[in-house]
Amino acid sequence: MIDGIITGLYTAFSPINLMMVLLGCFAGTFIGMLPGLGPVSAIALMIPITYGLDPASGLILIAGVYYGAVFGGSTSAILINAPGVSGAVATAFDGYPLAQSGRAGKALAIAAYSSFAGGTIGAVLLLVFVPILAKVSLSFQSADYFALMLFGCTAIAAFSGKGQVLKAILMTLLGLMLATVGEDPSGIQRFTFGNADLYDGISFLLLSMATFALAEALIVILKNAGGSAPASNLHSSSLGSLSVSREERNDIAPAVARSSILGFFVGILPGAGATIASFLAYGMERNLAPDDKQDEFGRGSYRGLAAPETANNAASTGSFVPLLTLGIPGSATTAVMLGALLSYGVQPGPRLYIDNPAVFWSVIISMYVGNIVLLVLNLPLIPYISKLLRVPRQLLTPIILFFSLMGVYLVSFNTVDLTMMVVIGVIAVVFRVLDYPLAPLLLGFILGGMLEDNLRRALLIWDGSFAFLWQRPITLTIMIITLLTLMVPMVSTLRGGRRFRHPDTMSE
Amino acid sequence: MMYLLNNKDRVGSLLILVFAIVYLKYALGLPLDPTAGDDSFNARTLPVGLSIAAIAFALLELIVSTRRAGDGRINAAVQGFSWLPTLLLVLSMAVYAFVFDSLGFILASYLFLHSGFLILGERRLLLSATVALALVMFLWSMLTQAFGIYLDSGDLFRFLAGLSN
Amino acid sequence: MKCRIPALLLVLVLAGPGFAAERIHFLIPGGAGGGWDATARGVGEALARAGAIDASSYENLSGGGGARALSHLIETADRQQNTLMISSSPIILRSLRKIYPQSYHDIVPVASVVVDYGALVVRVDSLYLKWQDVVDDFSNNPRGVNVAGGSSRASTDHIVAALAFQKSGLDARQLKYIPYNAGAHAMVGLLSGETQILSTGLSEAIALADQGEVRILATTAPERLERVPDIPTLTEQGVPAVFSNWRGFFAAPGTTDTQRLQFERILAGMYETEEWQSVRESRGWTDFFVAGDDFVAFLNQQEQEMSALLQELGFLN
Repeated sequence: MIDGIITGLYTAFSPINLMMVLLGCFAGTFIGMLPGLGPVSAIALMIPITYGLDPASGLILIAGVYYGAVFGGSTSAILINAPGVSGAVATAFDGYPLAQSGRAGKALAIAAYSSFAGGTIGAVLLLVFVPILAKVSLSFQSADYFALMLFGCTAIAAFSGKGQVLKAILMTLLGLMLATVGEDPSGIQRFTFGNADLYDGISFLLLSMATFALAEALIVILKNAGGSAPASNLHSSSLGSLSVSREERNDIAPAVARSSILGFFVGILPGAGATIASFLAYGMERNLAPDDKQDEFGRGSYRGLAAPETANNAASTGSFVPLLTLGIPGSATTAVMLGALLSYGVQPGPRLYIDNPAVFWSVIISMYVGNIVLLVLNLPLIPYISKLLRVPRQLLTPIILFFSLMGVYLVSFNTVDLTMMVVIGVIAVVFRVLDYPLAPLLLGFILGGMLEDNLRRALLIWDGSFAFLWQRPITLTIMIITLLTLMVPMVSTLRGGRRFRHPDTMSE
Repeated sequence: MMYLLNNKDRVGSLLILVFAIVYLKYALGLPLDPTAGDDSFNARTLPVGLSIAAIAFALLELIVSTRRAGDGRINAAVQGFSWLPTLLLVLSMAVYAFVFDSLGFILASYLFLHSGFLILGERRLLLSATVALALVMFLWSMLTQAFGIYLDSGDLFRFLAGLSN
Repeated sequence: MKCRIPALLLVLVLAGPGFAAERIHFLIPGGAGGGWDATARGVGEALARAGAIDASSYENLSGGGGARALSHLIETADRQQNTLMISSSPIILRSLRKIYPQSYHDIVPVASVVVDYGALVVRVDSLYLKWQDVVDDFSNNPRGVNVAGGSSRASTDHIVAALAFQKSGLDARQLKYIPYNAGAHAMVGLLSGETQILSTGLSEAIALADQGEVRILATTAPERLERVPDIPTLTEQGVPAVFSNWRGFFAAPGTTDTQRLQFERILAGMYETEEWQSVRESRGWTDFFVAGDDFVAFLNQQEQEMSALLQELGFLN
């Protein structure tokens, strides 16, 4: 194993390969910042370009593109509230408010440090536990995934403070309802009204761009008479500042440690992945935070930004476990990664680790080098990237709208989606004006499909009986944790029940 | 009546209530897989359950919200909103979606960006034109040339050039 | 059918010179990174690098499970002279189930290029050693055999499993099919122990079988494949269930015979190129060149079989 690691290191740090990873990170960050082009399309687009390269260089380029695209996705989530991949949704929850309050540079820096920490801890865990991890990957069945998705829904608690509980539940239900549009697992068309544009359901990107990026851009115009100056607090000279104080670091560090471990293990599960990991970490950190910090969540909490970013990246590292040790891609990203590996003649699977450890480790190390280079490359760029927010509002807003629309178009190449996006965006603005939180809607939408699929499979397998809830230990454990998580805020809501009569002033 | 509706929570829950009722109506009419036989959980189960839950919670919110006063008023919330530029922006997005296929990516995007700048009060025409054109051309060349993504050139361009594809 | 290629090639090569292959526009009914996308780009790259065509472009037009690309090709036929749309067996299933308003009859079949067969897969420690074991078990207790697949009911994986059970003389309607949303997830379902059998594409299963993770009980190929001579077919186990999931190209309606023949020629020439052989190797594809009238006849036959099966399963009235 040591030999393999050394060979892998040696390959990864050759000058040509370092050039490759730099190039890849740069291209990846750019591609990832465009909402429609996430890691999946970035890699798919790179495969033909890397065709002539030798496998090691090609893989390293791809690794750079991959990490670059993930970071680029976080950048647009933080700066313009446009999470282009579902893994970046939770990043927008607190990253965007931070950027709006003039701390864009800091938010991006925290995101970069957290991704790096998540990737690093993930890589260490991978190194230590790889022989036994394959078994963990296969330990979850549909019933357990159902429980896990249900647990993921508890992250909406973060949006249920101050008499908002019912509204958050209503918006989650709305998201779950939107997720049922399209062909269901039994092959039946639901709510498509015979319209082929709806057969595949509403795309995640459409909904996230409409409810987050587009609605936010419109609200800003609606509230601020479109003056020619950028929002006043963005003038502050600290906009591009990266400095994170010791106190803040100490505040974030435990959250990063917990989230990377949680993220890694959720990432190992082929049916879960980075998005679920980021939601779970977000919910977990909010529940663990002291009362005074808890209210910051959703309004610009450093922990609330660090947790999902860490978990997202640790989970991405974890998702390489089923890919490399079993040859099974658990996500769209690892699926296209498998295509890249195959085109270089690397067939992942249990035999790869045994027969060809050098290849196995060079894949992992090249992924990890991408992680390091990204940090080194992006930190100096962050001050410049965050100055994007200095662009005058009357220019920035149409550009944001344009990029959101283009992103959605690039997924389906269908202008019907653009119309649908505008309509949903307007509805989202109405809900924003009415003070209904939109994050639970997106969360319900993302989890809804997986929730139903897994529940229906579990019921089919258990012949229509719900016995799996108490007969499968993993399911039972997760269900108990879920119930406990729900009980705590409910008790505190009951204690603060008088708030219904004396509502707080509208906080947003 | 208007007084009762002048409440953010109430109007929001009312909107969801209406949506959930319409959704429930369609959910009850969903076809069932004739071959699935005894499967207890079918295509209708979740939609029906969700809409019933949504109706229940929306009604609850309607009742609870009557107890709240003051800050929830809509007319207070929307005071000072700049409706015109927002409406014009929404309109320009709708037009963009509508003309995209005929004008093609470059022209439609340019027009959208430029009109967006105008709507929000950018009066420096040269600046607007330069920014819009530079952005569109940069994105177009990146997408089509560097990444090899196919963007349809649009009916207008095809008509003028007499080209196929 | 493979043995016909050389002869066909010879004819085509003799008739060949004089045709300048300008450019091909590939219409892909799914997103970047999917199976259709990989095949179209693989073919296009091989052709371009071998110099058979001057340029290629790729248009990903996903939506409606492929319905949008099909409608697009038909609606804009007059400007799609250089276009080849990639498709595969699901075009037949989805047209039969009326998910597509149109079918392959409305466009011009050019040629199929590769094929994958259905595979029935079990865990290595499974008690099923041959297909007959599954049949026996199912006859005793149909609800005890969970069959996983990577697509929804009445889609390819379900149909392959149903075909195998039906041709084994069992009631395929009683088949307990567990749908997953991707082949990889169905594989996890099998390995995690919640299902006993997996119905999937052979090329997806071979890699994992080679690594000793799963065992392939049988394939739906007409005869054993050169690449995997040890894997038995259903046919040789006394179950005449043959299903070929082809991937091939179609041209727009109104395409002239000259143009169609030129497409055919270009595609036929591809198999000889080194570029294609390396793409095919790395992807684990099996060559399957059936062109022109043979392709149409092949499609018609598959449509008939699928129609009968769907009817028996109750998906068609």
